[in-house]
Amino acid sequence: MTRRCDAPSARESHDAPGSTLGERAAHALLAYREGRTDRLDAVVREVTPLLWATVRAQGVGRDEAADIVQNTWVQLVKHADRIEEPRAVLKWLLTTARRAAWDAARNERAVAARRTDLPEDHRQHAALHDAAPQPDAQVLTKERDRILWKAFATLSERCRELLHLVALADRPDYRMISAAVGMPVGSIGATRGRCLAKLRTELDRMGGGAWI
Amino acid sequence: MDLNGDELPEVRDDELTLSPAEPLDDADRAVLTHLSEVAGRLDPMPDDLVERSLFAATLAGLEAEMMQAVHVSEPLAGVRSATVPADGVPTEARTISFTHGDLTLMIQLSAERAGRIRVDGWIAVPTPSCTVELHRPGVAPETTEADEDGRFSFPAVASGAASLIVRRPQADGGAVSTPVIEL
Repeated sequence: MTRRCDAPSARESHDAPGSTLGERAAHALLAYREGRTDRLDAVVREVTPLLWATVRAQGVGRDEAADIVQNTWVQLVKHADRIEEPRAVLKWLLTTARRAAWDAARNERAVAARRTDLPEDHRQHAALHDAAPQPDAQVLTKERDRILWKAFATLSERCRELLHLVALADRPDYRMISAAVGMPVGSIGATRGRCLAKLRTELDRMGGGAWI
Repeated sequence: MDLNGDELPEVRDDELTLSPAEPLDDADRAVLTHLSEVAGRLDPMPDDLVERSLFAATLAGLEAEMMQAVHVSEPLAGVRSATVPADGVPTEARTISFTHGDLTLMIQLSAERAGRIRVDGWIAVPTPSCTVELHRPGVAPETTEADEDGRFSFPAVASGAASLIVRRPQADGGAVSTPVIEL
């Protein structure tokens, strides 16, 4: 795994076995700038689930979330020649989607507040922010699934978002994903995945630790 | 909220990260795979979102300014299709409006025979000399001219994702496109 996600070397082609999602996205954007649009399709397929998860985590409804994801790709194509750090295009995509989702969620709350100018507003706002939906008995039929979701729900909102995105990506770029969810990679000595370690500790505690 | 007791030091925001320096082990990967699977079942991504995104990206490459959807109305009681299908079953029409600058586009979608959709549109703009293109994924666009009142129609369009592009002379504002809509 490369640690130089901001500067893939020349020998790392877009489809090299060791390339991260961030590198694949970067190469696709550079190719797109040169008029080769086909590589972008693969990146759209790979990154769209991450954009969906990001937008939904901000408390945006499903229909609007779909529009925001779609529009994020539109923005990429429109700005393809002007993105300052093409190497960090994955971060750009996640950040663009996240900002649009914030705006949409804020507008939804403003509309809701105008409709019901009641003291209970605070609780409604909190509900909109809750990024870990309650497990649905119909969906999570296995004990194993329920334990995982319960353990996951004990994490902070940012941890949940980070882990969800990392889980969706094949060879993810931690730096870009962390930066995009507002957790820039820290200083020397930043230890391996506190979020993941915490999740696994919770799983062990709840008796769901045997995962292999 | 520290549910871990003494097992982990207090978590600081700038440390909430996975470091490439210590790669994931098999158990980590198993947890993440399971997480992705469960999260996907709780909040599944719409099946067509990737295809819609690909189509939207293709349209964006055509360099038309994007219009904003103003209002997607529920099927209106009492508003019927302009053309009643051969089997005589009345169908309800769906109206959508879009704006961009001084241009407003209103379209009415109604069911035609054999699963086809009729698109009737009206462009409100100071100089309504417009060409209208209907784009769908993977097929060549259909083109028509708006009449002097800004009206146009596509009488029988296959259902699925589509986008309309209104082309005006560059001096009148150039090309604008609707977001992808579901016919």
